[in-house]
Amino acid sequence: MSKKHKILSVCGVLLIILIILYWQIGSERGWINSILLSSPSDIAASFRSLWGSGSLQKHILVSFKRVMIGYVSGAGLGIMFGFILSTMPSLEKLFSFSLAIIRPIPALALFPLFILWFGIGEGSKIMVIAFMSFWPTFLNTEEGVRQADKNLLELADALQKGRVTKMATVLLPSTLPYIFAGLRLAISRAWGGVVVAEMLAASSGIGFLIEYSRDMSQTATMFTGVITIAIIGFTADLLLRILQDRICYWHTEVK
Amino acid sequence: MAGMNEVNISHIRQDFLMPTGGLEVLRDINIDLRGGEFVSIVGESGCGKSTLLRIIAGLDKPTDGEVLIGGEKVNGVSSKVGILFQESRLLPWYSTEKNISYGLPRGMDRNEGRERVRSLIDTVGLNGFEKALPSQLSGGMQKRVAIARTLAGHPKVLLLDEPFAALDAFTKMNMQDEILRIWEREKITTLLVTHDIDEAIYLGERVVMMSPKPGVIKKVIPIDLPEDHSRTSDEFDAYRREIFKEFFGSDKRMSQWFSDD
Repeated sequence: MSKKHKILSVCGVLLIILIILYWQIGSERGWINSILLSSPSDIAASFRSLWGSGSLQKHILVSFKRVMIGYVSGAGLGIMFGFILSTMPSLEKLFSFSLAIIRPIPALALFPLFILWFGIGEGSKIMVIAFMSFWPTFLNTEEGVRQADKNLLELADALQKGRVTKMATVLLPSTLPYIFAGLRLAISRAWGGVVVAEMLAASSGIGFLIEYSRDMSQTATMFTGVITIAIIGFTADLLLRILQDRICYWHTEVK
Repeated sequence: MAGMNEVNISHIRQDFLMPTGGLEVLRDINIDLRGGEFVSIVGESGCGKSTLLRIIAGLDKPTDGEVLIGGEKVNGVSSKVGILFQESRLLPWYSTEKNISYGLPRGMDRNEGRERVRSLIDTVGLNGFEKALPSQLSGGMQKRVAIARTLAGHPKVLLLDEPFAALDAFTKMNMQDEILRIWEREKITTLLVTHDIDEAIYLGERVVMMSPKPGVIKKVIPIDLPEDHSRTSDEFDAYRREIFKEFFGSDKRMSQWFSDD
């Protein structure tokens, strides 16, 4: 990173601190309506009390579990289907039309149906998250396979590598960066999905916490929920990025 | 009995199916290579020389005719043939070492394989770069890895498909000496395809000239250079002149021929 870029990133952090500072002072002086926008200190207090009572951790854990189950199964299926369909042209032809019809359906439009089919409990929420996580990973995996270097595949043929070896040594590694791009898209979608699903029908989870505090007009708690989502989403993406740099080591060398 | 590493190319014809109908790419190509011989094929792009190489490698099937290697008919890729492509085609996620071992024959003993990779790294002079990724190597070094990988398979026949076309002039001459050195030591039957006339003369014991539409052999010129293979010798110049004349009719105003290439 150049010196100029470093200074700019430091300024970026300072900017947020300045905004929070102004926000705090504005709330204390009465420039900002605290019903609409709680002061940072009120939010911090709400955060402390929710954390202290253990209820915030409980809501996080519930949402986290839903996301993990839905995300892992949805993204896992996405990668699998992406690989299978892009390496077997006849299957792709067979399924491409059905997939093209299902894909544009917003997952939340299916939520009421999922409730009907899988119950109002965990099943329907996990299904929505799985549905949301499936598409970005599926499409990215497919694209990754399609973008694999034909020259390298031919090389593997010239060296008489079998089908499985060719997959493991050429196709999979060249698809990995695409798979990670899909996984990162999917995780943010999955978090968005769980919150909305919990707002619509749940009695626990971060989404429920936000919706419930709206009913109770507890603006500071609503902010606590929103900020929690931001922190978790940011952390998840960061972890995936670190994992990507580790696994796709050759990709980072190029930069 | 035919030698183990003799190559017989007989009556090869290749048609490509185009939307406008069949296109004859190669017509009645006949070349016989003695075991251990180095033959260069030179011609402009589109004369079918790369197609011919792909047929010998077993990557493409000819419309007609056959290729025998060691008396056996080529039918698909085989471990007898090693091919060096124009691009180095290294796996970006593999180190030098692993890229070279990628070319080892299947089922080779692990220790034996490791030993072979080590000696190949010696041969191509990449000591100290065993763990480097392709992205950390220069173009010339990447080419050395590709050469070592091709040699790892112990090919009886080596096919070079314009292997140095993408390299700068200095690296290119360097690599040509490298190939010559390896060929002299291992005595692998080698077929080089190139559009570089100097390269064809410098490396080949015979130069096969091809012309396009359809691809046919125009002339075969035996090369007999002095021991040092000097690129500036009178003999070298004489061959250069002969080939230029054969291709272009005269050795003047080359630009008019190359203008649309």
